[in-house]
Amino acid sequence: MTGSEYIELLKKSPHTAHQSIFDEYIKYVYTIVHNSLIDCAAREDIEECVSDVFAAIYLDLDSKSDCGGDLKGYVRTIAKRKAVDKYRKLTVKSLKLVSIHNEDFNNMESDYHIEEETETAELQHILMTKIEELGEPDSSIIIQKYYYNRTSREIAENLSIKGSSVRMRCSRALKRLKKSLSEVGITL
Amino acid sequence: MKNKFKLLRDTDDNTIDKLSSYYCEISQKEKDRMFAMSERKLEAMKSTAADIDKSSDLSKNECPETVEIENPITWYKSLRTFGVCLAGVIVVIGTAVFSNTVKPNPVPSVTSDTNYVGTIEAAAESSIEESIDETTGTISISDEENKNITNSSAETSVNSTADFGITTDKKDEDIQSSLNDEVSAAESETVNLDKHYEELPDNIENYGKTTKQKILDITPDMTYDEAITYLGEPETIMLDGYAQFIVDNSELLMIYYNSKSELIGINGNELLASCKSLSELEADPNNLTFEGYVVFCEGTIRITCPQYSPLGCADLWFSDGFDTSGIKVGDKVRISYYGDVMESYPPIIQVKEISLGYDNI
Repeated sequence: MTGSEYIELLKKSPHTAHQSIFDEYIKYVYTIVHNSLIDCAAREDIEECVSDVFAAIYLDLDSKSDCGGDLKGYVRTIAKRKAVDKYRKLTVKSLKLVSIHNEDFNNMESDYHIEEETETAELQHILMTKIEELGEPDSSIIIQKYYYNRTSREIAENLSIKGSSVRMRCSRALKRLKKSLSEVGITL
Repeated sequence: MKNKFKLLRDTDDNTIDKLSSYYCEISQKEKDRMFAMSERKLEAMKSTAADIDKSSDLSKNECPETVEIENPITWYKSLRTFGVCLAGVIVVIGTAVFSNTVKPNPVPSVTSDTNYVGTIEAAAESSIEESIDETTGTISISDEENKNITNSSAETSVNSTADFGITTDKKDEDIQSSLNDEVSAAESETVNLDKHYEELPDNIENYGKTTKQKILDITPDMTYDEAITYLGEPETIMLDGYAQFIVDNSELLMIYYNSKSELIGINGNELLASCKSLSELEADPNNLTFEGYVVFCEGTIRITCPQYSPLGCADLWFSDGFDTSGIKVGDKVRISYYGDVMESYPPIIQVKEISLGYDNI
């Protein structure tokens, strides 16, 4: 959906326009938000943040007469910023404040280490490659089970297969993934 | 296992695209819940924005475009103006009264020759024509407009109401001449006094003026009251147990007393000897000098100074370096001492300078 198409829909029916853009970008927004809040937010927090993203998109786009072309970049930017805001809200209590008068202040280091980031990016690439090599529906089961934190029942509903099959496939896929990762020196 | 998959956090956009496109499955129930939540949030945000706009409009409407200026009542304006004028008059009168009160001596404010001419010249600007005859010394003032005073040959009018408090309008030349002499004498005397007063040390106040001849007329059987009254202006100088006079515009005479009814006990010559030179006082206002007789000279030198009322009798305290070997009982000495007097009995003074050899009793 482009911005012009959204404006046309908005003129006809705001609700329809909202529903259209929501359906098109819900997975994308959900993934971005989940990817940012994966280690600090519950599922409800992620859903609330996703709704915040779409509410902000609606409010902003409704006030514009021309939104231009593709909205994907625009949606990604809003989703990332909202996810960062949510992350800060959720982690504000766990943030450790250190006084500048602390004697260890000068010895503090940044959390960002370029070597670790590079290594993490390489691991992400290898992991995704190995998961893709599992083939469908095992790769989807593994991703939804361990990345999206879905239950076997939800996975079964989403993939339209039985729950017992999800559990069996998940177990076998995980063994294969461990074996393939161990071949490249990665242990799960 | 879940923790291992957390390494996918903050992954790159390509991975995000893969995850969202191929592996993200969201149930319709979840979608409906999130969509409904987003709609509610949208309505809430619009409502908040509307409230902000509404409050902004209210504040805009409530802001007064003009300021109403209170117009005071007319009679109040007049009363206020009258009050301001009255305050101004009070200030001017108060300033004048204060300046007259703090004036040290009620001497008529006759100015010097130069100032006098200047005063007359200044008066000329107020339609008074005047001239000064330098050969005769007479001063003639005429007001041609009013024709009250003419500047002709015989009739002379000395209008000194502003400066002297004397007004004459006499046709007789003798009277005119005597008047001119009197005015000139008064002018000369006052000019000298003014010049002298300006040169007085600041610490000399409330003084009268007298002459050496009057002081020499003082006899020991006169009381302080009689002596001071004879010397002049007792009402202005008899303050706080002492009186002081400027003697012939060159010396300062101070007379101390406990009671005005007591006999002064000394004659005019002795009194005149206690006068202090104004030039010395001008040079050192704290210089205190008197003459006395040594009455005790064993370890401590004690003097008696009956003419010097502040002490009468005192022990001398010398700083290091003073040679007192030549001082003996009966010597008349002139002593200059520092102002501080130790309140013992007899009082102790610190000698600044001591002079011997006046005479010996």
